[in-house]
Amino acid sequence: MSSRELIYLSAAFGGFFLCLALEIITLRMGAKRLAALKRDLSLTTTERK
Amino acid sequence: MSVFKYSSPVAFYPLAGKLAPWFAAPALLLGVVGLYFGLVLAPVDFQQGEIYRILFIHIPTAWMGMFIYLVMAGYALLALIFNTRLSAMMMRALAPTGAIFTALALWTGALWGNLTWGTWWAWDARNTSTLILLFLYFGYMALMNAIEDPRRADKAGALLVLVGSINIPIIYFSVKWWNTLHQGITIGATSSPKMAPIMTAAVFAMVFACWMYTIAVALIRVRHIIAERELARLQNGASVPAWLQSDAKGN
Repeated sequence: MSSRELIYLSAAFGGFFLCLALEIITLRMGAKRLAALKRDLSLTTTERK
Repeated sequence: MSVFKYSSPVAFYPLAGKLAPWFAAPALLLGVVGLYFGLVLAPVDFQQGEIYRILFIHIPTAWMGMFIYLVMAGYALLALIFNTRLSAMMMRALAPTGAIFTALALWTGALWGNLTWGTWWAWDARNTSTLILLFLYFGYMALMNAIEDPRRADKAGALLVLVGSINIPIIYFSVKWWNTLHQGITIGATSSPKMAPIMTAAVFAMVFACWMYTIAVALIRVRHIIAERELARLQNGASVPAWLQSDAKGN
């Protein structure tokens, strides 16, 4: 395999896995943000009661 | 027990949480198998050399970009005809993954094209219609974020997706209808694949891996969308529902 081919293959497969990893990380961050919001709201509701 | 029960976001929320791992695990397994077949077992192509291996991610991502949009169009129809909230939420959950796959198809296509065609980009029918698909995804997501009322956004988004779905047959048949630089259909629905069996197996393993991944990610994202809308309602003074309260510590 030539170095040019290796660079191109790395760019393709690297881009693929980078995008999927970024999507999963974004989802996990969203889940954490929602969980925190839920906790806050649950506390507020309990205090209201 | 009726299946239609799960068309309610409240009923679907726990089900989506339970189903997601059952799609994520096969996605990982099929991905490993596909990469092993494609990068280790498949022989070097006699014309293109090693660079043809880009096709093991280019074909699945290109197919998924089109397929996800078709699924979104199906949900758009359901949302407009039956006014189902979950259909619109599923549409919204699928859009980012569809955009990612379409962008990856363009990126991997450009890399492959530079070494085989001698150019990163050609304004031929297949490339241009795929670029339009990416813009349709971006337009849909921008529209959803631009309209504050989620129900109005859902309807506007559904209309946009339906109108844009005309682009999918154009992408698929572009290589038949026009004389394009892009090659013709290698793996068609009505003809046998023009690839070696091991290469076809690698492509299909990657396609199913991407499919399973998309379902898993969409299920997780739709849960976020359901929870987000419910929490937005709560901030307006409504009481915390039990199905969200029980989930407050987890996820």
